[in-house]
Amino acid sequence: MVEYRIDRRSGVATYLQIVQQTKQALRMGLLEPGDRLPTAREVVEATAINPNTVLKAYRELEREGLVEARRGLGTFVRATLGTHPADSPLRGELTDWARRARASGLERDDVAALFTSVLKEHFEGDDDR
Amino acid sequence: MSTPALRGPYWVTVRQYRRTLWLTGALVLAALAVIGGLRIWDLQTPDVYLEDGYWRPADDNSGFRMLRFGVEQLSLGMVLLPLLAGAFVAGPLVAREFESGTYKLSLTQSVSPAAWLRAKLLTATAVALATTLALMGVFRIGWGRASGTWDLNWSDRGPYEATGVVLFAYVLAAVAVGVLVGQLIRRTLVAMTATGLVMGVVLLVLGELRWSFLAVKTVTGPRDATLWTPDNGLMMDMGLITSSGARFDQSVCWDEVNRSPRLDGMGDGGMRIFENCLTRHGVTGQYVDYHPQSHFWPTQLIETGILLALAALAGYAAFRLLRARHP
Amino acid sequence: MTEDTALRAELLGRKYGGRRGGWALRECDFTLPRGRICALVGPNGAGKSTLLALAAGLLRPTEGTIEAPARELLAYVAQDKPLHPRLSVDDTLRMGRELNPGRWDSALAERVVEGGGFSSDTLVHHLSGGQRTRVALALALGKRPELLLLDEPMADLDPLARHQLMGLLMAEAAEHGTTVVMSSHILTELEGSCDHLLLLHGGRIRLDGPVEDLLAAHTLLTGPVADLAPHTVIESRTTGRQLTALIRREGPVEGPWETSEPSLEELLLAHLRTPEGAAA
Repeated sequence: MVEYRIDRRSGVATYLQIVQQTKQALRMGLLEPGDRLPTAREVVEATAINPNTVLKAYRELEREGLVEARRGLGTFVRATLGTHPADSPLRGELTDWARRARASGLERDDVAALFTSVLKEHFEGDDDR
Repeated sequence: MSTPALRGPYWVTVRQYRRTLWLTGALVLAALAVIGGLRIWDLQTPDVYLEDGYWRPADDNSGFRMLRFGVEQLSLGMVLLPLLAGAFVAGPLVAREFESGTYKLSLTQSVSPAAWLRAKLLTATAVALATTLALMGVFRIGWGRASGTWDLNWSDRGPYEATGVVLFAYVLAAVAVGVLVGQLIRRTLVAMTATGLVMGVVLLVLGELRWSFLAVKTVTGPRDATLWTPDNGLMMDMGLITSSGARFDQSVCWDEVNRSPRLDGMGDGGMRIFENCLTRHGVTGQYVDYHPQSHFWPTQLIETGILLALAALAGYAAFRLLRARHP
Repeated sequence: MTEDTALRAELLGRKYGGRRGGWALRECDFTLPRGRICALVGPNGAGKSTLLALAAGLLRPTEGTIEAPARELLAYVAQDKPLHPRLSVDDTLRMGRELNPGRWDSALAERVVEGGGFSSDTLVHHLSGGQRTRVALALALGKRPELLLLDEPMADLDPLARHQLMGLLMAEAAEHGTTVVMSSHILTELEGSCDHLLLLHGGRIRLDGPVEDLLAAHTLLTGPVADLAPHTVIESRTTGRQLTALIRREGPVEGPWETSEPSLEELLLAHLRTPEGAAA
């Protein structure tokens, strides 16, 4: 089960925060297919946000094929997002790369900029807000 | 107070004012204890034989004197009961809801405003009538012994209200007026005062008018004998009549006495001139206008009718007002 | 009133103190769809409380009409949170049951009162302001209303209780589709919770509609000073050669300006600072 944390001053629309946090949980393997998302009631009772915002976020996730609403039962995870980075070989490779970058004298910000520019190059056009 | 049978706004009203209910019950019990106790105290001293089978309380019977005093005070309290009931209804029961703003709570529940007001009206009515009945019972305990003595006749203010049905009608009218005034004047103390004043005026006015409801009876007799009011009657007027039966205004003859130049020298204060004057005008007898005790119940019923009409009118106006203000 | 409308006003007006006196509310027209969480905002004296009392049926309109659900389906919490001072909390909830037969949800009412840090046999007049609010809200929610009218509901609450009760309120709305109208002049209290907005100023409605639509219809722009026609300027400020303005768009914004969507707070403040009528 995920727990959403809403930051009202982030400037990011509330429903997007829910969408992003759900996706993050999917990526991290915290949510797996078959898991139930918290009900709108549970989310709004904990966060005091508008119920329609939660429903809107869930509709967005459903539209993207990540979850499905089962009438009277709740909203369930259908798909997972990519492999689980936490324990995949890709993570190991990235760790190696980061170590080499540091050894070659790059600062943290330089590494981040490099990584972002490569990301941008390879994922151009994927609208993954 | 356990109130298992009460439901809805009745439960709320009783629950809110349970202290007042306790206090009312305690006062009735206190009245019972005092009058009952005095009655027993009075029994400790035997009565004195007067004549012709009449007995009177012994002069040293303090119990009797206290009982008489107690009965007088109780009857006075009972006359004031409608004022108290009306003031309570107008103030704490109704006006305070508006003054403190709790009407916003009461009038937005599922129960309609009319049902809310009705619960207050009927609860107050039931309690006030029960209190009146109980106090009348207590009064009877003392009245049986003290009635007929000075200032405690059937027609006197106090006993008149406390022994008939009219007090119930006063209480009803007071509650209805209270419900109306409480809504009109939405301030607790002002509403209480106003209702007390209104009921006080009603009490005084009807007290003045009540002996004009029925025509008086008249008895006549010779000029020089004491003329008693028959039938334990309430004397309304007395005076002199001429041989033709016409009522004679005796101030005519007193004027003549006063005009007499040698009045100071006369040993009888001018009585001879007065008597001569009466004879000259043909005055032969005297009369007494009175209400016999048999007028008690008809008078009570007429007064009750007037008060019930007042109660109905005030009650109707109260509900109309509520409807007009709160849809 | 149609199935999907919770509250509708047509040319609604109300004068202070009955017939005489000035207008507390004038020519109000709006329709609030069911299931919305509506923020009723405006400065003090804008007519928020009058509008809520009219909706609750406590006042009669001086002119126009207001259509609201029947008394049984409506709950109202006035600004001063009136409660009978001599009743205990338990008695107050029992009163809710007695006065709303067939509708009362005691489990819910007790849940609202729980966590208030007072025992249920406390007399109401011993409660603090925040605790009173809790009991008043319990009384309103326990009735299971379709329309919940709350006048400055959170003013007396500490941040923790505010968050908890707002959460509970939203949860009830989520589960039962309750329409909520709450007035406030604390904007942050409402941001995130409300999806509908009613802005009152000087007794008149200045903004009315879904928050998203209102935000989307406005643009915050900065750039060189220039004529902003055909857009409606709500508020503009010039610093040297730079212009900052909040506009209601009429068509796309073309020009050398940097644009962004305003936040709810920016939108409300701009409208409140503007003299009446300028941006109607």
